[in-house]
Amino acid sequence: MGKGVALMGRSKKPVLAALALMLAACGSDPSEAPLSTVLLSAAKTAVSPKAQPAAAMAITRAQIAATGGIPLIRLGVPSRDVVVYITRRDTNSGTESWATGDNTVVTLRNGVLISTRGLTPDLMSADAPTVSQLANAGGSHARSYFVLGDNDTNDRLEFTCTMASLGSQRLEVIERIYATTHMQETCTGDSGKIVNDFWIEGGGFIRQSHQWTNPKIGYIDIAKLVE
Amino acid sequence: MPVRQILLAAVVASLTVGTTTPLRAEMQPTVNMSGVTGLIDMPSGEAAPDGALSFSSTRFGPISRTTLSFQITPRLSGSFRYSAVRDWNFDGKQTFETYYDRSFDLRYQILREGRYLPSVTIGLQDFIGTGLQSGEYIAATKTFGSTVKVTAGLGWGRLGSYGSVGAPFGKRPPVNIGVGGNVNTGQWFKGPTAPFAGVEWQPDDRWTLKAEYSSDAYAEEAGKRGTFDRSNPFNFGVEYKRSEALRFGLYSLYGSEIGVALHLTLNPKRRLGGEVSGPAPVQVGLRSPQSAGWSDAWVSDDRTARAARKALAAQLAVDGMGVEALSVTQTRAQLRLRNPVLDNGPQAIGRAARALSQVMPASVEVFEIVPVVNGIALSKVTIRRADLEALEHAPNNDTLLHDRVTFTEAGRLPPGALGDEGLYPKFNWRLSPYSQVSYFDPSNPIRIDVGLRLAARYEIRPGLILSGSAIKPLAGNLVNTNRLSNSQLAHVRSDAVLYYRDGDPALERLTLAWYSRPADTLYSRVTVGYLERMHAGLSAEVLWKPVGSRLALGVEANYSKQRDTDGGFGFGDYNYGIATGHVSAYYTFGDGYIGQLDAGRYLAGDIGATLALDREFANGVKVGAFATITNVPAKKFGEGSFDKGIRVQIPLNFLLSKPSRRVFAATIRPVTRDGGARLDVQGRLYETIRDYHKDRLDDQWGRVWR
Repeated sequence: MGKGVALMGRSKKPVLAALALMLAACGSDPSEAPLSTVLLSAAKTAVSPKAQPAAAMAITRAQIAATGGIPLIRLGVPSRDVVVYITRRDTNSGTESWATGDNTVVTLRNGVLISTRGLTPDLMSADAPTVSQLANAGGSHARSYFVLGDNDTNDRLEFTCTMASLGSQRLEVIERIYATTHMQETCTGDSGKIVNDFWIEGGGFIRQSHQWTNPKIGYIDIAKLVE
Repeated sequence: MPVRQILLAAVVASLTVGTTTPLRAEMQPTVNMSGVTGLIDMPSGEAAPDGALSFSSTRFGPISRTTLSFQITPRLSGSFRYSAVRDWNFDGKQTFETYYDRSFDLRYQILREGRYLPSVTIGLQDFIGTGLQSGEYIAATKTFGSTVKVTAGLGWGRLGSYGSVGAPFGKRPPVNIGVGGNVNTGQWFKGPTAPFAGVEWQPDDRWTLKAEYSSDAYAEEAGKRGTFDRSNPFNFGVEYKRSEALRFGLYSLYGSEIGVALHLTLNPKRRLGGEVSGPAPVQVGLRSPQSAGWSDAWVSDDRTARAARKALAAQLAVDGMGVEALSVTQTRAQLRLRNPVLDNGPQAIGRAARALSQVMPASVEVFEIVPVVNGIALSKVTIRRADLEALEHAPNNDTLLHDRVTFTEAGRLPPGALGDEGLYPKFNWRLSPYSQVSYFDPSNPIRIDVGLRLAARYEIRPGLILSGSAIKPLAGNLVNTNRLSNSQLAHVRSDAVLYYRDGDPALERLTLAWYSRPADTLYSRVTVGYLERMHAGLSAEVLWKPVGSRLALGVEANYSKQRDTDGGFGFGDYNYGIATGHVSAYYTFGDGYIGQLDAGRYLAGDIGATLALDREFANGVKVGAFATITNVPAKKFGEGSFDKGIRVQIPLNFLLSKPSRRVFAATIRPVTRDGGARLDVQGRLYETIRDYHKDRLDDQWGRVWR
């Protein structure tokens, strides 16, 4: 075969051609976005500056009343610059799961955060205190968080916590005043110190809270608007 | 092999993650110009973090090196390097060619750094190669405070070639290069030894300053051939860490040259695209007390059963899953589950269980979920409904649920199971870009073609699959080579360039595959047709693999004829037909380490065995190496002496964290010859079934409630 392979004249710009081709993938399976789409969105995330904080959409009692009294909370995720008003999806023996429109779910047990889905990395489960433990100034308890970590295992984060009362507080939540006690839970553990805040009404109802979720998300804010 | 796609995605993703480093961690090991943990040109006593996979590209003067390193275990690491020295035959007036070399390294950390003791590593550089790069070392590194590291070591071979202090273990025998590929054990730690040392200072998270004294004389490159001027043994450098994944370096080497380096480091345990995302699963459906008494009528009423199956299919469809079959008795429901999208088996099973809890009548107490791939049932995960209800919101619920479910053989399809009429026959097609890469041609180290691939798959009935793919190259330089095969064996692999040249367009595969379960722990496959680009024929395989077993045993027998290079249906170019076959043993050692031993007859008629070791992470990233020794003598085999290589598999999910079971795989051989070659049949049994057997489900179980 002589001096070798006859060299056919294919274009010499493989990289450009590859980029053009990225846009071309298609198929019968709609469940999978073409690589081009996902790569582009990843690249966009990479180059665009951090999204502007969404101005917390303020709503009024009248608007809430117009929804017809369905259970509603206000969920704030400061690390994601998000404030949303979300409804209850389901209840299961003392737990309540609240879901956003895009199916991000936060689950509380009597107002205490026990898991998230879609608030990555997710809090898969938690061994959290009861409301009476949280209302017990001077008391102490253990806490465990199970966070979906690298390598798809649940990392167990353990803390020892003590409760302190910061006194009674007239708490305003969207045009309404509630008589609450501000309880502060200070926890220390291997991953440092966290401080959770709860505004508890007489009868042990947590009206508002500022609760740690995991090392990346940090704290979330929850206010009960309609129970 | 879409390596280009992997790299592109890796670069994109490396820009998106790790740009913030809030905590000042302890000093991380850095990588040297040879792509191993070290200083500038010298190695250090440290090990990279477990599992770290790094890609380094460095250059100084006439020398460039590209290295892929993998921290195989916390102490053991391996590297594969491709190096080039320009101006190799400089005769005073003209330069002629570039010298290319491939080398493998192994390093073992014998001591981890303690309060007083340094970390100590023993390393073998270029231990199966031509010997030009060969060197051995022992290096010790100690950290002082949180910003300074000091390294000192002793080198042999080329690392003992400058400033020798003697030869404690005797003379270094000359290396017998032959056709390369020999393990030069006789040379190790023999001959002159020389000390090297260096210091590393990290004033902050981003910057590192390095200085070192090198014991490498560059006798061949600088001394004999004068490719550069080695004025003194001192090297200095500054490195900048752009992110956890990306690092740049600028150096002054040997008093005469400027060096640059780019290091991409991947932690395979951490997805580049961020944590697992995607919508929440549906909640566990609760049974109200009054609904407890369901009568048998439900079970026998076909219409109700069909309605339940439809409702279940709708639930599963949210995650792209489907019902292969559903069987319901008064107390037990068995779902044969199809999961083409979710990368994680336990997540698919957990979601299917919750979907069942939404749909099944209250009397059904037990859910059996049987994952099905290619029409065959792989295992049975049995979950008590009461456990599902009780544990949904319990702390540590993944471990608690794992303790209560059972993993058993799938068994036969229960009588009366409802198949999904809508599922078969099922047709899928996909038109997508492809790239094909050839490495290490001396005249053109990376040659690449890109084009379009049309793939289609027609599942006629469960287990019977007609599939095929064809490519149309659009651009590239794969054919730009003068290196034609000089192999003394049948050209079963080495004529690749002819296939690239002539196959435009080319039929890659067109096969009919039949998968079956002959017995409880047995799996079988028969594939017939155009099995791969170069060979067509019949391939049959049987695999024994109990669900909970670490060991699997397989037998494969094939008869194939070599296809024409034009990618058509013919066999006229080669008159070559051969029966090949292997017996195989697979073993999982735990922590994702998998060993595989195949013994039998290879495509060129040679007889021998292949040993492969892989490490697979829970997220599906897999890194491994393999070597094949057959009865072909090294000289007849040609360059490299025997077949060997490394392989890397990266799931799309790892790059983008979106639900997908697509995987990019690349096998890199220093050189591709005809000895030790096997048929490249798609859908071999072990890989097909592994994801739903107990070992793998255990590794991935953390996502069962996700």
